[in-house]
Amino acid sequence: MSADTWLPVATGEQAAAYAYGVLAPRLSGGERTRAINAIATHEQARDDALAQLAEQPDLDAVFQIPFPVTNAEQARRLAALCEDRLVNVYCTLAATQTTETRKDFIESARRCSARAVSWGQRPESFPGTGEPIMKAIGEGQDTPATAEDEPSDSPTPVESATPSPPESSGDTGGDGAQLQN
Amino acid sequence: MDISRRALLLAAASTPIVAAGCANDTDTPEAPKSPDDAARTATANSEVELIAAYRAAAAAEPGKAATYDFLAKQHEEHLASVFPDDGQPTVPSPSGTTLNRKALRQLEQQAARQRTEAAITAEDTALVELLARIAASEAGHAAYLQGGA
Repeated sequence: MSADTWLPVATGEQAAAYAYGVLAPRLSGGERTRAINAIATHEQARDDALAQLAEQPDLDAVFQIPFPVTNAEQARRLAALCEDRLVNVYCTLAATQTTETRKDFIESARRCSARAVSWGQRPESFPGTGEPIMKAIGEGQDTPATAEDEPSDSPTPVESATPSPPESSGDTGGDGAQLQN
Repeated sequence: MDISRRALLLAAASTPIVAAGCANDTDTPEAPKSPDDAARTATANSEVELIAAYRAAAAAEPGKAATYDFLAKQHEEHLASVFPDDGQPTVPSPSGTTLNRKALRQLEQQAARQRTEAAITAEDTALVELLARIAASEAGHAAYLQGGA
């Protein structure tokens, strides 16, 4: 399987794991646990993708967050955004795959879509057709915003610190449909 | 509707097909359906079932009609995306059977699985991507119904 297939998956999953690390501290209770579990879910998916590659890439460790994340509402919004962007990655790549990988990718898209909705995104007829997933820090030309900046819909980078490590791990639910707000 | 979505729909709707139940009634045997035609027909029939189920649920539970109508509308978009306008099967009027929220969620989950299987057998890459997005949409619907929307 080519790097054209698995590198976008690994990068997207890495970005999602990073984002959950940024947003998890802004949540509390069960939502925070869900976010922490999601880190493990996306790291595992990243590792699975990397295992398909003959040559291991240097994945970016830090990504631009498209808006400041200073409260729970913004955290939920970022989680939903990351999941929706992964839906796009998996759906786009599914079309180019053989049957077994195609099935795996569509099932991944389904789980990501369910998680996006569970974080508050309104269901969409054709999810995952939005903007690409976050850029790595340094990839764009924007100046990182500060945590005090007001939320914005513009793709402004904000976080440059390493996200907090997971405090616990657990079953993230193979089927995102079981997740609830 | 953004450009990418519109392009996706146009690409997927570009192949004319004959719907199950809409075939002509001549004595001429029907040619075997291509994998893509079969996938479109199966998807369309399932979407019709979902639309009818939501309409019945909305009629039975007016307090939740907004939610059910919202989801039914998305299934109408799914249906329109896999069928040309003149070939869409007719959505039956609500019958006596009304599904509750849990049953609707299960129907959505089943639909997402069916869309996945259809995408596996489909050959046209635009159709595969379309079915993948519909499967993802229906997984989102199931989560929406579970989440107390």
